[in-house]
Amino acid sequence: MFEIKAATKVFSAKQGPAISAVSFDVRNGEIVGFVGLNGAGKTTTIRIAVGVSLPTSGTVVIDGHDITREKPEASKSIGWVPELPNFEPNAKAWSMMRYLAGFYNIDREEARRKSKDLLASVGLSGFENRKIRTYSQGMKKRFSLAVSLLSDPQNFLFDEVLNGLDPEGIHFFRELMRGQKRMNKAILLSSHILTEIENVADRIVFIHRGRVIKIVTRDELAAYEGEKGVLRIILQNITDDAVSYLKSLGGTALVQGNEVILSDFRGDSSQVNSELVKKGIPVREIKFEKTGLEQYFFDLIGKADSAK
Amino acid sequence: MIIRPFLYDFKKTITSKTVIILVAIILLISLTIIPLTSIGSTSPPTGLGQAPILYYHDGASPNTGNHYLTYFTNQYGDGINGATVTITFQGARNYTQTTVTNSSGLAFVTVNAPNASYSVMFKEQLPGGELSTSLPDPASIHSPSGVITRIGGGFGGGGFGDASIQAVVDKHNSSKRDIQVFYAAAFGVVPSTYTLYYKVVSSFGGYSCKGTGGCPFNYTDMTSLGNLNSYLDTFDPTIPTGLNQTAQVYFELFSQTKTEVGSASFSAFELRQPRQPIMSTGIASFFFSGVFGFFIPLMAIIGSYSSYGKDRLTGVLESVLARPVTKRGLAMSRFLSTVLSFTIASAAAVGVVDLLLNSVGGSFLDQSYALAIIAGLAVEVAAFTGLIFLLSHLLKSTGALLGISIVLFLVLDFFWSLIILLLTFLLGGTSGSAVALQATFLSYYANPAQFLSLINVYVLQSSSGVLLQSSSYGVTLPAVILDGILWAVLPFIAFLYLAVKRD
Repeated sequence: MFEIKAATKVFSAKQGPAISAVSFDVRNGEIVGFVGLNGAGKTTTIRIAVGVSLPTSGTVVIDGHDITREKPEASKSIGWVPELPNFEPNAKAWSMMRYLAGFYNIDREEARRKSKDLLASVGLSGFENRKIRTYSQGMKKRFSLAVSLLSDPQNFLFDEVLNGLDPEGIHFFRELMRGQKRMNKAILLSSHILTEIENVADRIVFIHRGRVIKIVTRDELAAYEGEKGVLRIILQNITDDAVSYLKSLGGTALVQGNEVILSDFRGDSSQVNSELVKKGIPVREIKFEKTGLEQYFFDLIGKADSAK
Repeated sequence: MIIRPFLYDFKKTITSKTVIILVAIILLISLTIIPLTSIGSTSPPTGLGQAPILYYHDGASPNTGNHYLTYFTNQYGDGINGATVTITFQGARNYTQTTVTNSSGLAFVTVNAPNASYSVMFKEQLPGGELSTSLPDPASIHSPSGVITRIGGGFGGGGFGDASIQAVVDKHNSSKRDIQVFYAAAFGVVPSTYTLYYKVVSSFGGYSCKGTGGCPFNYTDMTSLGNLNSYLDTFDPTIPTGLNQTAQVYFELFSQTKTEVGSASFSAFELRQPRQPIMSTGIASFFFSGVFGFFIPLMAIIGSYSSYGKDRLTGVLESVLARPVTKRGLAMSRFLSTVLSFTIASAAAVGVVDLLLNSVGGSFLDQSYALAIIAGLAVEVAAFTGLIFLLSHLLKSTGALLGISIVLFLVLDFFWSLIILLLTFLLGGTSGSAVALQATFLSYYANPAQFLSLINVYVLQSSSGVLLQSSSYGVTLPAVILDGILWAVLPFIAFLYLAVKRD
């Protein structure tokens, strides 16, 4: 398991903290989803947790080892797959695997065997001797995953690993996470694909503007009143009358171009359509989505922003 | 925990293509000294005209064998192979005998001629020139059969007596002079029963011979340097330090029966004089400060960019940092492996230069000079590696790092002399003046690319072939050592601080 304790990171005094007093834990045998908008602080938190970035204050404890003070011991228990894996581009996958294996006290023969098995397990058989720069983004993620499995770590941190993957790739990662969970591993998964988080996560940590705003369990999420939903209305032309009317329906309204998103909508979408037509506002498209997590997410953000 | 990542990173660094190519270039650059050595070797060898000649004859037979033994060496006392020696007896009939020196530089010439009066001509030919001179008429040499007599007056030093005792430059330390003894036992036998003695005294002269057992000193009052092992043997006497300017060193060669057969004296200062820019060192100093001084910083910059700067600024380093390694460990391993790779390559290049100088010029570099150069190269490599590593933490992109690195190289390495010259003019100085020279030398302290030049000035006590006293211009040993330590350590410490304390 690992625990992030009051982690704060300030890149620039002028800009304020990128994350502020972020605290949560990921227990063994658990998948924790990590959800937030772009720039919310997910990647900063994960980079601190894996030890490539230093916290301004706070710390991260990995299986009892402080990542800043006992980095080598702590890092042995971490498998990290970043959103954009960045290895020496001119290195061949095979030699890079064996080079990195050296940091884990894995002897040469064992490194050869493990590298071969792991590259095969992530579907990179036949590509071992290709330079990493020739890999697609998906292949790089698979390679990064193979590297993260080198030491059979107890903790995994997957940062937007599903981005840019094809359905087969997403399925592969999903099954891998479930398999690791069955092996009692602790997994943190950050993703924009909320349906995936909803499918696999036991708990979800919501982060917004660098602060953890909520941590919910799967059961708590399920208990969330499911009648609410997100209503997306695309108008022919956006007008003040239209916006004013839609905002009056309650919930949080977000206007993006000709689109209005009501994230906390309760009611009948056809009724809304009728009202708009009556008001002489042409509607191009109207759609109601009962996505529990997404709605929950927007609710939280709305509340956090209005509280501020 | 630092050992394992260091070993992996060291292996990765030295086996990276960029480093291998750069190391190969450094070694290839060392080969460019060949044209310089061939220029240096066109001057005549120093052995020309300086060798004494030993003579003995077989006795009063009708066709007496007249035996001559001589040698040719360079300034280090190493034999010159292949020099031609011709001795001609000119009389009622001419007799000529020619031979070449062997690998020890020795030439044995026997002229069989009837007992008569002859005009004897001696001619020596070396690749760099030739010399002819006359030798005494054998009929005028009244030595018994087989007894060695040194002839060839005017052929340089050699002291008194039949044995020749001369000073030669120590091969490993040009500030030292060794003692070379040339002699043969009766009938030209190897003089293995002869022993060389020496004594250090505080002043020259005033010593009277005390009967048998040597002159001016009795062998019992002297220190043995050992027996001769061959006709031409070299000894390294221990000369105490702190002697005054008048101190003298006496050498005497004794037979087994303690009969003195040769003696010589030298001032202690002559045997332990400051280093002089001898031929090969002169070429090497020009080569090291000019060629290596130019290329090694360039190689260190490219190597450092390749092994750390690029990885750091593109984020590749994070893929390693996520492993069980500390930031300090990774930073140190990359720095040390880069510095070690290029220092070893530089040392190897100095070795190649040394071998080439020896094969072409016949002499190795002064050991302490070569070590000083290697230390200087290590400082330059460490300084530039540290600077590039440091810059990679201060700049935001590989483009900026490359740009600043190029500017750094151009200013510190390429245009430095010009910049100092312009500054000298602007301050009212003139080129070549003492003030300009001092400004130039002091500017070397501020520039790691000029550290080799600083070492050359201090060790050789010369600049551009002109002898000078470096301390008069602010170039002293403590200052040079301190400067080297600061350049090797400060950029590294600043880099390490940023690498450990900042992302």
